[in-house]
Amino acid sequence: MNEKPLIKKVKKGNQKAFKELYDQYANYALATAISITKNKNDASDIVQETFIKVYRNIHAFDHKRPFKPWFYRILINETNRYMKNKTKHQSVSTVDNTIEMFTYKRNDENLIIEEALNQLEEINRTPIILKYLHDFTEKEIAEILELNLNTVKSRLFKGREKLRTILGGMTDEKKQV
Amino acid sequence: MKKSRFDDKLQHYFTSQTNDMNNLKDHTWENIQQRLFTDEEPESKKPNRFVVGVAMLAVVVMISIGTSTTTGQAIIGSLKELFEPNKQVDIAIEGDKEETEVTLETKEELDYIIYVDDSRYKMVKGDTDRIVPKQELGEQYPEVSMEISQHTNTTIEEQMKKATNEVINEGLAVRREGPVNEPLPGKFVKYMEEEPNEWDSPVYKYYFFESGGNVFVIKQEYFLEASEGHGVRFDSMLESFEIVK
Repeated sequence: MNEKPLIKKVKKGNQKAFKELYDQYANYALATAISITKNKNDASDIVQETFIKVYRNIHAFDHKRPFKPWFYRILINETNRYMKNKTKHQSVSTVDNTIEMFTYKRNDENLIIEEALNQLEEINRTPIILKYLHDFTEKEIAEILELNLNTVKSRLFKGREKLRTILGGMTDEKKQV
Repeated sequence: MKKSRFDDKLQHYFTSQTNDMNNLKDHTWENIQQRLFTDEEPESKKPNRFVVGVAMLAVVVMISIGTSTTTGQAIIGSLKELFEPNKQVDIAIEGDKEETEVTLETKEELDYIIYVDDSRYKMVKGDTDRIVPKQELGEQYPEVSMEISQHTNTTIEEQMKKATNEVINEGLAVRREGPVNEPLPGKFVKYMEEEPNEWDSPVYKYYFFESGGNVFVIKQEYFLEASEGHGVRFDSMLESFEIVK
């Protein structure tokens, strides 16, 4: 179903439409949360909270605007909130179930990229995820992260530079922004 | 922008993550379904809201219980016992942690407490309490402040309408709104320009809470470039906000 009519149905409380919306967004939402948290259980909790917030606050969504950036702004805010609380309440264990977090098929190259991404600061990693996983424009990323456009450009640039340095010979290309 | 091999590899990596997610997706949906369509009181899950996350000096503010009374003095005494006089706390700014020693201060009439980052801000008390930068910003900078006010004989909806009317005159629009659980259960509204691309584009954040029949309005005012600075610090201070009954 086209997204706008679907959102209208969700606004009216249609549970079937909400499930359809979930099916459309869940895989990418989970992949985003896993990429940031590096933990599938945390990602599941975050996506759960995100969809619950979407369902309860869909009345506040302006249907003239695109839904995807609105959704991902909620997801990123929820991720930040969750990770902040987790850090505060964590005593000893920090990576208890991160080892078996990815259920998707990984090859050597993906493993290398994954390790390189893990070395990035969160402020550089999140814009990279939004750009390459979702193909968001820099302007959309700025809106989602509520940052100045130049800040996003700078963080993307630095993130890419760091990745290039870490990945070394894997990328045989000229630098570009 | 022309796509490079580097871009293709990153894109391929991220796309591969979305495959084989069915088990996790189904598991997550089961929880959502249970909480939204089965649980009777899904809102009852309340997060821990009093966790200090900022390098701060503690200021205890009293505004409504009355003048200097025995009860007031007793509350001050118990609060002093409850809160550590000095401690170290952290705040994450742009990925870096900052650490500062904090000190507890008290005043007389207690209604709420908030820990203030004393190294950077000061609290100006009055009918509306204002937390402002300790050192005045230059003329080129827009207003930066966090105001805390309490209103009687009104509702959250009336105060939200009042706030919207005030900022609409400045060409701002609602960018986000909805219920919040932190620092207290209430409503949140954020106002910005439609296309906020300038470094000094104004940002207004409002929190509305109800307590004892009164409405608390917390207004944060800063500019876009300061979102990661003053914006984060204000929210961190607000995490320590607690109504004392």
